Amino acid sequence: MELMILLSLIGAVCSADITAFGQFMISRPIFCGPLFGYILGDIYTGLWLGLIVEMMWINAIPMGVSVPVDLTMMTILSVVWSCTAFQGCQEAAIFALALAIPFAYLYSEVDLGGRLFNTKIMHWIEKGIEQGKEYRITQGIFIGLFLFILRAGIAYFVFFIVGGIIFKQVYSFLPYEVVYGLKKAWYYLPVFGFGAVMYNFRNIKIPFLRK
Amino acid sequence: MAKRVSTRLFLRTFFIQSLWNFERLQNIGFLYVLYPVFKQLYPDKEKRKAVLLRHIGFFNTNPYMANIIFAMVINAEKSIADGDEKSVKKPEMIKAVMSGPIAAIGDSFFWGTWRPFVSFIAILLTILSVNIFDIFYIWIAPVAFIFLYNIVHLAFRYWILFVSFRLDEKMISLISKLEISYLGDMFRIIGLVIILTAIIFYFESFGFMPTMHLYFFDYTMPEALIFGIILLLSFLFGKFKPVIMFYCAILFSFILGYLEL
Repeated sequence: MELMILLSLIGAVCSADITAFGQFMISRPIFCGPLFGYILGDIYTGLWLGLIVEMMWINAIPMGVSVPVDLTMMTILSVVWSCTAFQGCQEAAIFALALAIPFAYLYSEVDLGGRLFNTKIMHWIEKGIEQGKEYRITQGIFIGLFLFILRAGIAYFVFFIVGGIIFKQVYSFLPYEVVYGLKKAWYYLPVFGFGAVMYNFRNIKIPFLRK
Repeated sequence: MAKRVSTRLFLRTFFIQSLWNFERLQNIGFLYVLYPVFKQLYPDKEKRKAVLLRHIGFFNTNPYMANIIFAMVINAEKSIADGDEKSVKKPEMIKAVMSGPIAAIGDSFFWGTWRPFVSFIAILLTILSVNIFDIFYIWIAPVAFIFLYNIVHLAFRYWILFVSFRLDEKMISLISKLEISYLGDMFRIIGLVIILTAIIFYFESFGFMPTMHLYFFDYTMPEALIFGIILLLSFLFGKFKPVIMFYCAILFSFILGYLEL
């Protein structure tokens, strides 16, 4: 249980990096995947899952008012579920990733609610400034950050436990053919990833040939 | 004031999006970053209140490039605090005029070019460490990713703050002279070479010949066909969302499993 709380806290800090604090890219799957893999004793699975997510969602970044799916949560959930239940099992790791995606989408909705609540905090700060309570600016920033980490942390904790149970139960009942297919997916999902990455180069220009 | 306030201000810029909201986006972050400066420039509480309310409107830009606006707004506010009444509308104008263009530059360079480029290096290092080098070196890829990204990102954020303080309005002409698209194209060409290398190493391990690993692409698949498949997938990624492509891949794996291929 203590480990789950600690992992939830680290996960929440990584998720906060997406928009709320710094943007040092510790939230990117290629970093947070192996980080959680290392903590749980299987850096290889963490790195490989991180690699798949990083490549397939290479262009997903929050810009303006768009809130893309939380790739950090997707990666961390799959690494934690697979490393705690079936460590070193590649087919289980791929199944964990497939199961983590709906949870990440669910969290995006929760995050949306949080951002709507931030508007209320913003109005509270505005009122404070009008009343001469300037300290509300600093308070508001830290309340916003605290609430972000709190809701992400709670979501991680609940998803680790609930999702972990679902993952173990469903995976145990998968037929042999499906498990065999998932084992194959471990090797060819990066190929799909290469496809996503190559999309980046669709309108490449050679600088020295430009007028 | 510059150096002492700037270091404090630089650390505060990491919080610019901590209270991101749908109504006015980064407005409170903007106030939080500049609050120590306003406190220093406007010791009178009533005057400061007016300034804070003046700046609480909509603000949105790329968080890395925002440092340019912070420095220019501070310079303008300094002039206002010194009694230059002509400059009263200048801070709002800077925010309104500069936010969009510098956001476009920041988004296109940092998130459209530099981050993918560093990711490509990490992807290549991962494939090399898993398949070619010893598995012991597996940690190199994530460490290299975070180190390379941040050494440029942090240095740029710090440098641009001080340069903008010094150059003020001249910063606009400096930015317009920067060949960001040229730089972006250069990084993309190098990135393409890195990714093609990664693809070759990947199929060297899992594709062109039987290996000690589980072999999937080992039989009857020529190199040209492999690259053709990747280009086809690239085309499909342009048409469909990554999540759809991911589940199609999983569905494909089930079919392969049932066919025992």
